[in-house]
Amino acid sequence: MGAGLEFAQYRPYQAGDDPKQIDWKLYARTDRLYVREAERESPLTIWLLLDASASMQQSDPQRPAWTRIAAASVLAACVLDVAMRQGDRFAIAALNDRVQQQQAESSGRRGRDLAERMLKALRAEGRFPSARQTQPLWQYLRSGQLVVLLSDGFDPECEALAVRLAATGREVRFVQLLTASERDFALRGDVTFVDPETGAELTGDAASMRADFLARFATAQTQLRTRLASGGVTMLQWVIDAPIETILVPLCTGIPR
Amino acid sequence: MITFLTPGMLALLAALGIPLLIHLRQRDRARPIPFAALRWLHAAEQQRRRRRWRDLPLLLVRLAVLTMFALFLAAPHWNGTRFTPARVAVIPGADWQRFRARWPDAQWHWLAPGWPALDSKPPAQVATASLLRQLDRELPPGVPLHVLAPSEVDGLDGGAIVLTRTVDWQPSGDRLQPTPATPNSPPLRLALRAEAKQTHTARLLVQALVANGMLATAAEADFGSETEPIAETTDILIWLADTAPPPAVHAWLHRGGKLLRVCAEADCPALPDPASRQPLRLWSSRRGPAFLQASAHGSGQLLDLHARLQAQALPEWVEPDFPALLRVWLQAIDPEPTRAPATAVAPIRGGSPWPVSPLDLRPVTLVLLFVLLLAERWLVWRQLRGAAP
Repeated sequence: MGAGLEFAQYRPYQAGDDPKQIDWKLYARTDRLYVREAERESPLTIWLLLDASASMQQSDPQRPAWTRIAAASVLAACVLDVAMRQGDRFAIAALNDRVQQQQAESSGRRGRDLAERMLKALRAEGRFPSARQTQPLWQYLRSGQLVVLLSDGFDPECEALAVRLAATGREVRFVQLLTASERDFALRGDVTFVDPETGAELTGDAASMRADFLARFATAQTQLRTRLASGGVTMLQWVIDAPIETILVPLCTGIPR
Repeated sequence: MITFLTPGMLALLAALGIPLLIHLRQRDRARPIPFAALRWLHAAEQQRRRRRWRDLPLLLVRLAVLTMFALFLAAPHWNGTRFTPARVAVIPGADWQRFRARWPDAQWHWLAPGWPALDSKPPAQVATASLLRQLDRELPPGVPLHVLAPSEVDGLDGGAIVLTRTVDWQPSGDRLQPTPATPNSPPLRLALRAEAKQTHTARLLVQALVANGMLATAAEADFGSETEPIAETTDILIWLADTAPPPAVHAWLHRGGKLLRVCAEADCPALPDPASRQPLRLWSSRRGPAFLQASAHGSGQLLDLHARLQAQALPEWVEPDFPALLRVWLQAIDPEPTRAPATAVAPIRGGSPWPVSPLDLRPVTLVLLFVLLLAERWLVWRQLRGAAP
């Protein structure tokens, strides 16, 4: 992930900060604890934003437990571990319209453990939050930070958030998690397809719908990639039946393979 | 019209709802799977409709199977009229060739047991009246019956020919059958065998036989001692001896002879072969212990008169109508007349027709049921083979 930028700032103390970093002079003046980040070389801060809407609960029939959200959690844990080993700071937030779960910016083993505990308890439900619902996030996400957004990329709000983050000076890596069904559509017989977020249904013979779906879906993903690229967002695609290295390496280097 | 022996079983038709329900459920069988990329998915409606139509024959066959099963259990019977062609019965001797073209569609046969076709040899003497009644009962009501009769019909019995239908009675009158000689029954050949001490009694018996007409003259009788053999053509033998008849007489009796024994003692000597049935008492004296019993030996008949031919033992012996009694004992009765001019014995209509037994349709339904079951299995098999990857 490389070294972070150096800049000076005070930040309110929060649980997990090294007491050595506290500016005691300022404490004496203001009677509040501030952490002085200017005195050392500031590491990079990575923000992991996980889409926790219901569509992330989807998995493939061959491996029902390996849902999109499970894959995203494992990927997030890997990134956290890499960040911790590099001494980078990290924060994590799960996004849906019901519960806002967030683990504030931290570093070190303890911060990682807290973040992983949150990941373990993560459940995908509801829909992707609207722009208004993601408003509180902006006070933590500062310009110049690295944002890794893990999502299926089907929600326009998610795409809008990524573009807006990139436009306001954050480096955004958008990881699109797809299931094998969306890549191959290897279904047959009469199937009722249910959209987990809207509840919309469609029944039909899967085999006869395959060609049409694959064509439309490929077009849509190409268009999404184009839009994100023009918005300054790097898009990486991971079909979750592929080994995790196939996404972890491009994600950490920022170079799509 | 179709009737059912157990119409309650038709309630099983309610089971028709089962395949209907299964079929309706099958339409919604599509398993739901969550699919977030739904907006890029478009239904191919045509494909679904075709699938539903493909299942329709299977549904219909299953409905038919259940219907047939319920019908089978309800035991349907057809008791309407069955198609039977008109019948032409030809009494042997009739000039049937003349009528050949008149009823081309009818079924032609001889009036003989088993209704043999006209190609076969004309049967000999038949019991015409009885066969006509049988044919009438066997034919379903309403089937026309034509009978071709010779000008003179033989094989009649005492009763009138009363049939349940109006019969087209066609005596072929222009070709009279030669009338055989008047049926004088051939004279009976009687033989008497008597031991020496009963010769006188035997002579009296011969007189009685002459008196009742069984013998023309006393000289006609074959009269001899018990050791003399009898002629093979003898019809009736009267045995007046206490000894058992010789084996030749046994053999003759077995071939169809009629033997009257007068047993002087209490018991007649038993014949070496037992009677095939229990002896039947034909006659008992009202004034004494005498009786006559008959038993069958082979085709012949043995008559044992248990009495001495004396006035004390058999009071009838000395009465004037003993000859008539003797004739009754020997059952020498003239045959009844069996011939009459065809015009005189035309069948008359009467009586109610025999109820037609309903035709059992269960075998038909069973066969149909099996065919439908096979068809159902075949359709399923074809569908499974088509669905397999």
